[in-house]
Amino acid sequence: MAGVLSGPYADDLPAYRVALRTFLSSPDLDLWRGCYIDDVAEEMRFVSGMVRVIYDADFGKYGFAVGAGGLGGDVRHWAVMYDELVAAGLPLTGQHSLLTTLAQPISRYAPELAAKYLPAFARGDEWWGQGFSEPEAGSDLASLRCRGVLDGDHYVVSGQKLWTSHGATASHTVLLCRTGTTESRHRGLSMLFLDNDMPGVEIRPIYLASGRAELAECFFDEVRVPVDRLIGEAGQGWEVAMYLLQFERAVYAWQRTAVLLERLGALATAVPSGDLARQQLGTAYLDLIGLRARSVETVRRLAAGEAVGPEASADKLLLGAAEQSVYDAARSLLGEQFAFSSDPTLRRWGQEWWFSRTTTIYGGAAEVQRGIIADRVLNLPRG
Amino acid sequence: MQFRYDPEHEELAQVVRRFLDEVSADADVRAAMTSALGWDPATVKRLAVELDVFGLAVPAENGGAGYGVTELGIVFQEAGRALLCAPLLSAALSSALLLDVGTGAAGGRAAELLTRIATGDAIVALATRQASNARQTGQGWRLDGTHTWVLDGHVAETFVVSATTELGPSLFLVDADDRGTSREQIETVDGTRRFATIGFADASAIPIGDADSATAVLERSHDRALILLAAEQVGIAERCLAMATKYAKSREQFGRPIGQFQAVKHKLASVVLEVEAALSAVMYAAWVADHDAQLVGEVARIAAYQAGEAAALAASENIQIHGGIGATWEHPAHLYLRRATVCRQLFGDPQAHLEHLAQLIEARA
Repeated sequence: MAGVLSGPYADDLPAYRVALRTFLSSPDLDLWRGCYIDDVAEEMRFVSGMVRVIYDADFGKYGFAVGAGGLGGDVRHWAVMYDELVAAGLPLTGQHSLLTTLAQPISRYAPELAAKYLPAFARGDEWWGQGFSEPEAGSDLASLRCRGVLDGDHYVVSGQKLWTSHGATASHTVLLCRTGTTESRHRGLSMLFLDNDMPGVEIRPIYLASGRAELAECFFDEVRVPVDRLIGEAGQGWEVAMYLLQFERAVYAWQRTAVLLERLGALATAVPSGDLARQQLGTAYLDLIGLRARSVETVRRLAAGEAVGPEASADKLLLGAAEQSVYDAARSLLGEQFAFSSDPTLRRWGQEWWFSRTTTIYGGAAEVQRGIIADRVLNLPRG
Repeated sequence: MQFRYDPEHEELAQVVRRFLDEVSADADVRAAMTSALGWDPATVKRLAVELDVFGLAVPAENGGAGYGVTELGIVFQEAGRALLCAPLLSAALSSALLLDVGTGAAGGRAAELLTRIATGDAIVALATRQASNARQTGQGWRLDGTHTWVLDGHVAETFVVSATTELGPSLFLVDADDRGTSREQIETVDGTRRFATIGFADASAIPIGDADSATAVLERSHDRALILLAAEQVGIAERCLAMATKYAKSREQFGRPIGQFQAVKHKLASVVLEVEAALSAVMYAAWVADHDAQLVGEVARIAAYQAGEAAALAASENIQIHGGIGATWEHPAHLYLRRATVCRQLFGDPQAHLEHLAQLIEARA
């Protein structure tokens, strides 16, 4: 990609916002305005068309490295993109959350893989799964068992992953596996980049309580992965994972606040005014704005290349609380309608409410995040 | 009174629990949820014949067992625990209402229905959430109106309908196969209960009860509904607490059962407090319903509020403690939260109960 330069908005966020806003108001994007599709796979396919239009117009290339099909800039460009998509009534869905967590780690730890594969992901042509959790390794990620055994110039991968977002329709998996001994805990892990059509890969969707198949379980049976698919060095997997989690805990939080503010507005117009409504809507708004006030600083720090440490657990906890605050307000204020109606608008509230139940579970349960803050931010004595 | 069950009540609970363990396991519940009817007719028949659950609170002279709300509450507690899919609540409410208006109502039709409800052979649904308009014609009474969320309305053979006449609120019986009657089953958050929207357009109706007693009859029916659903929600909460506790003992993370972590211990202990408070409130409400009709409106709402909070908390924390697996469709945890969600809305939400109690306090001050 020699000779490719940063784009005109790489160092000018305000101008990026203005130009993006104008672009997103174009009739070319009307197809996607206000869309919500029950079927998750169908939604991903449909929204990928929008991602492509925005990428091809160059606006979707910011926040991605110049050497990986991007035009430079940083995660603040993404934050602007999220806000402007929502303001334009456009969907902010799976593609965006997957890019939020996976794009930066691969660019930093595997620039060659990023140059080759990331453009198709950023363009919406494909998306990748994040293979971290396992049946016996949820919040305790370092106990994971999926193995990668070195055999010449390949790792032979065997094991199982669980809760892979959009895994069943993903083209690749960013896989955290054990290349050292089990006793080595987090020191014996490596990150690999797999093609999901490699022999020995089997992926099945998991239906959540909402009835939507957002997640997947992945089975790997002696999958041969070339060593040049390492993201980072062998044994560096934990470091890559922790680098990745900063984006999951911080930038993803900003992304959700954009969506949640819009949903709260929709709720406020859907329910009759009254003391209870005002109190619940007001509380949810405070939770959201409180999170956003913190998140803006975390996003700035990440954009400046700073490492955001265990304190990002606070962003994660605030996000879980804000998600449940908004959707619990919806459940309470929509009341009978929430419980009894099968109207599509109300079904969406129901599905989103169910998903909000998982926000204190995925990416490390809320109880574990509080433990991280107690142990590693406050340095309380450990039990 | 005492806030614990007598030995014979414990025995009743055990008998019902053993039976429901057999006929209402997870696979049975899921099969019923996806069936057109909403329950397994063979199971309902067995519930009627072997346990007499539909006639439990019907007097012996009307073909029932003649027990009180306390005993019925125990059955509902077990039904909640097992997510039982059966037209149990509609039977309990319609039979009590028919008894209340008098079995002589509608020329003995009430007595005939009552006997068949008690044996599980008739489903009579209450369309009393809204009122139709009733008018007297040369051919008798006619009704017009729409009733939403009529429990078991999708298959009921007869409806008890609340309607407004020139003289005020009144109650009527309407046949489901009257040509002025229409019904449409609706999908709710909870697949273990069935509801329908019922429409009446010039439907023939037979009045039941005295015109001036209809409001009081409906209030008593509502109070009973609150207590029985509260008992059911205690059962939901107890089951969720048991599931979460069992999982916390067996699931290991960070090299030990997660129940060793104080965060999990405290979470479960908080659920215990809510469940105990709810159980006491339900026992009190049932006892009052069986002994002192004056206080029922108040204690029914206390029980409904406490049990609604307990079930919602226990079902939510059960999901949280189970982690990812608890948030999947495949795991039963969400079925309990779904049932609890509809229970909490069916006869007034927690906020409405608090409002009612606040008004009672103000009236006394």
